[in-house]
Amino acid sequence: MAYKNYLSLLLVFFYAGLAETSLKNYLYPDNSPSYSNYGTLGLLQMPSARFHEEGTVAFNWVNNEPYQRGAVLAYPFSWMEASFQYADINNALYSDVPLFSGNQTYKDKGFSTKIRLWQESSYFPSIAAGVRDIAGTGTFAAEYIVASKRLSNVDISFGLGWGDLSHNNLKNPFSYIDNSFNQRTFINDTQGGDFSPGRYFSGPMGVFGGAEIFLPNLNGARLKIEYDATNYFEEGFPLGRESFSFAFKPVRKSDSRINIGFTYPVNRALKLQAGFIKGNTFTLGFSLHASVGKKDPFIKKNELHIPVKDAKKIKRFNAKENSNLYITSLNALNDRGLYVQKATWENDTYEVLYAQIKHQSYARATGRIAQVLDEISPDSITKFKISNINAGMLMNTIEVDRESFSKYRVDKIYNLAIKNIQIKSDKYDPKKYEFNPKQKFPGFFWSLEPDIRSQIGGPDGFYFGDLRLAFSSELLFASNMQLLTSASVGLYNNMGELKLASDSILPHVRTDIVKYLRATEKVNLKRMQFNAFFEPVQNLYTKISAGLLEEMFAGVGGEILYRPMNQNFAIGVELWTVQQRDYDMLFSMLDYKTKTGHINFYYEEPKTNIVLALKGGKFLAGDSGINVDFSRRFKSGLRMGAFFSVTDISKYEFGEGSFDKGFYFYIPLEVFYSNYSKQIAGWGVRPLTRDGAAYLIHSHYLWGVTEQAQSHGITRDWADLYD
Amino acid sequence: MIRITIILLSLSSCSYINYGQLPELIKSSYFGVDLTVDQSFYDSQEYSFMKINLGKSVVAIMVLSQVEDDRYTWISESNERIITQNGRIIETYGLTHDARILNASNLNPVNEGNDSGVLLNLKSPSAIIQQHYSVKNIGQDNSYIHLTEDASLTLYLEMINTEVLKWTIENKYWLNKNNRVLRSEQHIHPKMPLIRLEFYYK
Repeated sequence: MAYKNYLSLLLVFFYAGLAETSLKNYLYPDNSPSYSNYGTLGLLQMPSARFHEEGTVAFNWVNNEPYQRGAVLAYPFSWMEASFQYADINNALYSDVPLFSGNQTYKDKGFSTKIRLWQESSYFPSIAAGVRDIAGTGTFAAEYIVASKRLSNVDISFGLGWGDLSHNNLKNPFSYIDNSFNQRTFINDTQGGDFSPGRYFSGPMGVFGGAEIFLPNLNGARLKIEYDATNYFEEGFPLGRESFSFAFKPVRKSDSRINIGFTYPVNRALKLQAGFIKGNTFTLGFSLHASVGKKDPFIKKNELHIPVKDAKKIKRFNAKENSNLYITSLNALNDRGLYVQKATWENDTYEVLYAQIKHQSYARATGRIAQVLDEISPDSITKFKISNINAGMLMNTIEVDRESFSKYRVDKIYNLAIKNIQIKSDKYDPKKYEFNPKQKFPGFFWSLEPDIRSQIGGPDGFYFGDLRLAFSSELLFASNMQLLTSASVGLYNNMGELKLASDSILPHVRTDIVKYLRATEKVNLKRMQFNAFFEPVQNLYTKISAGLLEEMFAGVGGEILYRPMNQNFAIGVELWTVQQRDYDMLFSMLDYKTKTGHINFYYEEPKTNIVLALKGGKFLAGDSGINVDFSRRFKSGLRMGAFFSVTDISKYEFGEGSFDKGFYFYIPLEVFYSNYSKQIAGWGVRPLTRDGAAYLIHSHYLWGVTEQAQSHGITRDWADLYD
Repeated sequence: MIRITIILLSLSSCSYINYGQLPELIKSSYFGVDLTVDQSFYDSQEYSFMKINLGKSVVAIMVLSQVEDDRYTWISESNERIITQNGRIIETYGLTHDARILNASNLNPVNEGNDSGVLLNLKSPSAIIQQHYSVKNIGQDNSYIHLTEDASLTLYLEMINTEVLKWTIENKYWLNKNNRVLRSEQHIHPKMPLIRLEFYYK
């Protein structure tokens, strides 16, 4: 027994040095940065130079009298934070007309952003610059440059601030570069929501600093202490009615510049935060964050490739006749959610045309098919040609060298296997296939699901919801022709108080939303759209549609997209003749008719997977201009994007918000499950519903339908080949 | 938790989501996923195996691939490996956070109940910690019946204290009359959820 103890002692001494440094990861298990009261990463009132890893989405809510602030955040890069904040300002009414405001207090919507300028190293801090309320009303406008350095269990931040962070009233050092930095100039002819470059980093300056002190063995809990540079005479409506006609009481003045707080991580996602600021105000809040960008971010997939049972026997059977191979391939692939449409075996090549709605990754779908074919195909076959068809259009043909694929299969060395895999674009010729299993048309698919319609943040109330039972169906007349129907019946709603009428001077193509919501409380027919797809020449995809195209418009039109296989761009055009639907969303129409159309251009940068989408043309309200959309796709399939539109209407014509803008995420639902699925949940923020820059939201955009018709749509996921 | 939150977030916004998946998602998030080992499943297995639950969200079958003295190596379909010694997990490979007891020979079988000390090598991130084990016999547990045993099992409670991390955990072992562990609940890593094991020998 004694020798065991000596051995343990020896091991303790041997590992003692190693253990000392690495233990910190366990003493402070949650090192992730935490949120400030402004809904961005930081101390309490002050920002820090910290960021979450790229592909993270987050939500933060804080009660900080007189403000209640909710923020949705996205980290498209590890050096960029973008947030949308919604603040309820409890010392002001929604408007200066009490009858209109009712009990509703003032709501402020704003965007903030922060960019890292310098990455932290052993001796240098991380440095970042940020702008609060970058395109809002300027109620909380501030800019800052901040440095953060982690020393042992203390994360120290120090920064310079402008705008609402200028309490110290110091001379602006940028004024030595240009005198214009002495003065903060705001754009006056704005409807809010506009950029205001004349104020950024201008006017007097403040200094701030503080620390986040991590406490051992408390799950990553930390104390926060800071010196506050908020200019409380500038922020919000500090003096009540003297500051702003809607305000009815002043904000409590600051009694102290030292704020203290405590943040406790409940788990990897949820943090609770509490603070005492200004020497007189308690704050309380929570934040949620999740890194969704990595492959399988939450759950490892356990839906592995299942080898074909009795594969050797089947292989011998298949060597006898072509039809044996066709039938066994069809059955084995069908069992795996990969549907053989046609096939042909000629000499050493076996070609399979398939459709699938299971895998987001076409590399994985290809790999799964190749694995099955490798198991059951006669040895004389040395090449598999695996072609994908979608909406009756040929998307791609992937030629797989069997020997190479098989050689690297056991060790899953996909990067060597892909050297003998070619992706090609072919003209679809259905007659060239020997095996043409008959498909039964018409095919009918339907689903019945709960649905919720929401209206958030209007003057009639903060939240209006409408719980519904939604019916969706797809009637397939042919592989390239479908009728999509979507209808719903109301179950419960609190829409009764919604009464805000449109104030838009443009045709009410979107702002009559309240009329639509109220008139469809019982039943609506959201969409009844007929689509027909064609590929008249190679790489040119077309769609013709007619019917009830979306909630507010019906009509006829089409889309053409040229998407060359080995390029990263696509260009297309869409044209529509539409008429506005009646508010009851059934078959009757209003008088407003228009022709709308756009030239669409897409470019996907292959290294970062950033897609730039430009949509230029005539919008629904008759305004002409361009919609610019940037989005980034992550390994998990998460897509984060932001958009804005500029059209030939004035800010006054556009109304509140000045111009159309917003951001969105698409999260693949398979990240929450251990099996694969192509379903996606979308979440978007558009601060205001206005009529300017509104475009038709028809189903099945060709850019989405033809995702796998470009080689990058496959090669970006090569790592999934042997999944 | 985060899964539900993201879905609720989606609920209150524009709806690209298939709400039909919600009940299943809520069920799996709160109640977890599981797999029932019944007689037909047991009979269909060629070799000894164990059912492993990692927290609520992962359930898998691992097959006994190697026996060396009292060390049993279990391997999953996706190549994760767990080595047990008298029912205790002493090494893992391929999990999100692996761990390895460096001096597992110090550990007495659960039923012997003596106190012992070990060094645990944690991975992702790497660290080595000293742990102190003590075990006590709780008695017969009539609430659990193992598929392959007629009699009820004896429950042992193992307290493991890691002074440096102020981490105290309680593992449970259910032993049959031959002192073989047939069921267990173990914590092996501060960053891993509870691991539940059910052993089925052939």
